[in-house]
Order: sequence, then C-alpha cells, then structure tokens
Amino acid sequence: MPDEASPGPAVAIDREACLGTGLCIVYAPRTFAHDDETKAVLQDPPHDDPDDVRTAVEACPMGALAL
Amino acid sequence: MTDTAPLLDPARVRELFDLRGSYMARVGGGYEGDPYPLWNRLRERAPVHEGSLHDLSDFPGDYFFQGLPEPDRPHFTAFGYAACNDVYRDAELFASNPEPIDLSRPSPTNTLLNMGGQQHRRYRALVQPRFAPKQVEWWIRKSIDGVVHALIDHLQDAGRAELNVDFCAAIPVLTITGAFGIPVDQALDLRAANDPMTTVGIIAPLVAARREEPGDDLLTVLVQAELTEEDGTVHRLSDPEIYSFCMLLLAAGSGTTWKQMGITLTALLQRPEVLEQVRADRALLRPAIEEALRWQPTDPCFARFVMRDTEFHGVRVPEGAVMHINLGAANRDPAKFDRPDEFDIHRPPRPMFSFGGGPHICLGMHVAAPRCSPASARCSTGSRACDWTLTRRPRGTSASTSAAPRPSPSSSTAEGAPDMAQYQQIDASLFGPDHVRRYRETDGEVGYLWNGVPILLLTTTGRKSGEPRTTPLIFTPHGSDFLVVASQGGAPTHPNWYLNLLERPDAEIQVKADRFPVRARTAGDDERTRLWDVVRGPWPNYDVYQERTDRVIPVVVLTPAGRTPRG
Ligand code: HEM
Ligand code: SF4
Repeated sequence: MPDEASPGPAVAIDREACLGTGLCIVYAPRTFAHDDETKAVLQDPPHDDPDDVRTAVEACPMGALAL
Repeated sequence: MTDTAPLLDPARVRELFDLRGSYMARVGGGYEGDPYPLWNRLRERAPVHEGSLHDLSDFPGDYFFQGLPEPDRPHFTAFGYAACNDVYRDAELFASNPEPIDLSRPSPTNTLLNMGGQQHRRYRALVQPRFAPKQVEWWIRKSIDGVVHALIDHLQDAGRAELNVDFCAAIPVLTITGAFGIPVDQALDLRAANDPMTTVGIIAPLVAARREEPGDDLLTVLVQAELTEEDGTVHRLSDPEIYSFCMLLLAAGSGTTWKQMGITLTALLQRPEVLEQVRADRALLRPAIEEALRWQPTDPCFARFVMRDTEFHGVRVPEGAVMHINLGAANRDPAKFDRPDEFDIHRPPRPMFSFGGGPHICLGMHVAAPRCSPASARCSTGSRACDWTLTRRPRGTSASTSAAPRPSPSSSTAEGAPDMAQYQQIDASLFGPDHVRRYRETDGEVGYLWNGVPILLLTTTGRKSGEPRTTPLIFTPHGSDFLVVASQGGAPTHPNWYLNLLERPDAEIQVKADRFPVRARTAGDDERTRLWDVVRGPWPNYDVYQERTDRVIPVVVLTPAGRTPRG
C-alpha cells in the first residue's frame, strides 16, 4: 500500500517492489529511512530539497518510488 | 589497530594485482587508451548498437565476463542512459542468466548475480540487511578502519608507496580478511585461487568452524541466515550455497574496490586544485568518490540475456541475444549530465549506473564508498591520511637522514615544502616492452613524447645473458650528449641497464628514427651536482625518487661514438 507524505512532494512507496537497496536514502537521507525489514519508509516529517527527493525517486533501481 | 599491513608480501600483492597481468587480460585489461571519445560518438549515433562492446570498440578477442564470450549468440550493446535504464528495469525481458541456475554446485555463477525473479529476491533479502547503509558502521568497525590505519601507518613509516599495490590492492584483501575472519595469507590465497575447487578448499573449513562456533563476521551471518521458501518452509543455506556466495563476494567486492580506489586517487592527483579543495573540506570527499564512480566506473560493461524478441530503442533484438550495458557511456550521456566528460566534484547528484541498476544493483554499494574513501575513515578519527598521501618530505632532506624522525606530514606542508603539485602523476599506459615495441614500430611517433618528456631507447648488452636489452628512458639533451638517469623510480637498487653499462659502456640508442652507437660514463660528484639541475628541470620527479633511496642516483652521460667525450 502506498504511503502518503504530508509536506513537500508526496512520495508513494511500493513496499512489494522495494528491495531495500537504500539508494533512496543516499540521495534523500531526511526523507527516506529503512524499517526493520530494510524496506524504505518515509521519515516523519520528510524534508529534503525537492530536487533531491526527485533524484531519489528516479534512482530507485526497482521503480518502487513515485511522486 | 591491527598489524596486518606489514605482513602483506608486496611482491605477491604486486603479482596478484597486476593491472596488465594475465588475469586482467581475460577481462580486457590489455586495452590501451581512452575509450570514451569513441563511446561518445557511438552513443550519439544510436542508443543501441549491434555488436559486443569490445568489437564495437575495435578490440577484438575472446573475453570472459558477464555475457561473454557466448560466441553462438547475437550481441548488442546499449550506450544511452535511457536504454541502459530500460535494460536494468525490465529484469524479466533482460535476465541475468538465460536459464535457471543449479544451486547444488558451488560456483561463482550460481549466485545472486545470476538468479532471477522471486528466487533472487529471497536470497537478496537474506543478506541485504547486512549491506544496508546503516550497517556500514559495522563494516567500518569490523574491517575497514583498522586496515586503513595500519596501512597508512606502515606507509608513513616507509615514507613512500606504490599506491596501486601498497594501498589500493591491499585494502580489499585485508577487508576480506575481516569480513571472513581469516588471516592475511589466506586472503591472498583466495585471491590467487583460480578455480572454484581451490577456493572451496580454503572456505570449507572456515564455514565448518563458524557452524561450530559463531563469530562476528559475514560467514557467521551466512551460516545463521534463514531462508523462507515460497511455500513458507524455512531452511538454512547449504554449504555449496555459502561457498558460491563467498566466491561472488570475493569476485564482486575486491577487484572493484581496488580499481575504483586507484581511479579516484588518480583523478585527484592529476588535479591538484581539486585535491586541494578536498583536503580543505573533507565533506567534498564523498562527492569526489561519487564523481570518480560516474566518470570512470571500474567495470564499465555488464550484460543481460534477452528472453523474447523485442524492438528495443529502434533495434530489433532477437530472443537469446546478449544485451551489453555500457554503463560507462550511460554515465556520460549529455541528456543526463552537463559537460559529461569533465571530472567535476561539484555536480549535483544524479542517478548513475556505476553500481548497476534494477534488482541486481550492487549489494556492496554502501560498503564500497567508505572503502573507497580510506581517507574519510582516517579523517573521521582526526588523522591525516590525505596529507600524507599527497605531500612529500621537504626537498632539502638528504637521503641519509631518511631514518631519522621525519617532520610530520602537516609540518612539511607548513614549511612550504613542495608537495604533490611538484610530483607529476605519470600516465603509465605506455610502459616497458610495450613502449619499446610501439616506439620501434613508429620511429617514436608513438612513445617519443611520454608524459611531456622525450624518450630514447637504450640498448645495452645483458651482463649475464650477453643479449641486447632495450629500455625506454627519459633523456635530456646536453650539448651533443644525452643525459639519462639511473633512478628506477627511486628503487633501492640500480637498474639493470645501468649495471650492464658499468660492465660494457658501449651501447646503442634510438632517438625517434635515428639509431646510433654511444659510449656511456657516470657523471662524477661535482659534475653530477651540476647535471642534476639539468635533468630535474624537465622531470622534477627525480627529486622525489632521490629521496626514496639511500643510493646516490647516477646521472649517465651518453656520448655518440666517434666523438671525444667531454670532461
Ligand atoms: C566501487 C566498488 C564497486 C563497484 C563499482 C561495484 C559494481 C557493481 C555492479 C555494476 C554490479 C551489478 C552487476 C550487474 O548488473 O549484473 C554489482 C553487483 C554486485 N556487487 Fe558490487 N561493486 C563494487 C563493490 C562491491 C563490494 C565491496 C561488494 C561486497 C562486499 C559487492 C558485492 C556485489 C554483489 C554481491 C553483487 C550482485 C548483486 C545481485 O546480483 O543482486 N560489490 N556491483
Ligand atoms: S531505492 Fe527503491 S528499492 Fe532501494 S530502498 Fe529505496 S525504495 Fe527500496
């Protein structure tokens, strides 16, 4: 189920697709984090430069992120 | 702090990590020159080309890598960013292995790298947590930190280093020792092992030991890992599965880090102003590493197998074909990066393919960056790896004082000593016998000018063999004479050609197309002092070489035969 982020660009995470590579965390470390299954989750509150968030979304090797 | 570093046998490391050695030759290590201009042109013409990358790069031969040699399949290569991205993202159409793999047989190809679909996800999920970004600290503590400290201390004591061998190659070897919990010698044995059974012979007892007694290392993680099958049953990894995974880690984790570290250091050493920025602001180290990864990824080409006929970026690609992914070219696609051929550590972060993409994206990527930033690990503890690597002792220091305590690296900079800006990084792409061959073939068209200085070929008579021996040497013209320097890069012993000349001073030189006999003599004390200034002008590195060794580096005067040698 996609999570909705509140402020900043809204990001949807497809947990099924996420492989836990952590690439999103590299590009937008204050927006994404890992949960205990090493799957991406949104930080509360998510805050990074919108460009960084966009880069992270594009970089996800699984296409698990969407704006 | 470990004392493992000094235990590494440099000769062995040099042999095992020879960039131009036979092992690297199998994967294309013999390629010379810069392929990127050609790749840029190909990418401009079309995003996907028919042919394997080496054929398209005019470098024919049988190479062994992912998707190679596969002589019976048609080959294609993706050059554009978008095309490479599409290959990586659609792992069903572009599979890492054409058929399911046999997990019962230990082999580096029976692993994650070659799995597909759900099987890949299950196995990857098993180890992913250990390789997650937040686990990097574990790796650093476990293996990287101690090794880097030990190595740098050791090099600092030695006062000089051949960075490729003494540093870049040593790091992955030593970190494997940490990750696998094995002694250094065994890590080198693992590198040397060139067939799966030898590797298994080394790993099997270690795995058995971890089953008996768990430790805090990666082998233990593998031994304890539990895999949930599709039907919900849980089982542990079998021994062959663990052996295969170890082989993959050895193959994927050491060569890559070693070479990428060399690329990064070279990029910085060649750009003193960038280096200066990084030294002044360590926060730039990470972007510098990332940019080196983008600009020259160690392994610029991976491959996938095409699972059904498809029309791909304007090219008809049949089922069964191999699609090579030229991620090096994708990383320089102007559609994604401004001024893509420039090494610019200030560029905004963009996704790139140096670690691959899609489900098989590098498992070690978060570990690799800190490994590649030896200085960052060191710097984080307040030391000065960078300074050491890049400064040298003040010029006035005579060789005989080299055993005395040295000014610390930072103080040598403070004294205004010449630093790396003076030391010219050498482009060694033309070297030794190759250099002689190309020089001869082209009458010096290739090889006369080398790193900005002129080269002659000196042929001496081997003092043991009696055979002619030819060496390319930097020379400085001096009147009608030719000055050459028996520096051997500051090695502790005289070069062979010099010893040959001591025995038989009659020799021959070739300067461009001219070949003529010469007579050699070693410049005497006072003359040497004068001539040293002459030779160090065009090649200041001689000063660095002299500081590396206790012997007085001879300056040799070659006088064309038939003329009276000058006093
Ligand atoms: C700078 C260093 C490194 C670079 C440039 C690099 C690059 C890559 C690339 C491009 C791939 C994808 C292969 C493909 O598309 O088929 C890959 C996969 C892999 N790498 Fe790395 N790598 C590096 C360091 C490491 C390290 C340090 C480790 C382990 C400690 C490692 C372990 C792996 C593994 C296990 C895979 C296979 C993953 C899978 O198939 O799911 N790599 N690497
Ligand atoms: S980059 Fe994609 S696959 Fe990797 S952790 Fe983030 S969401 Fe998951």
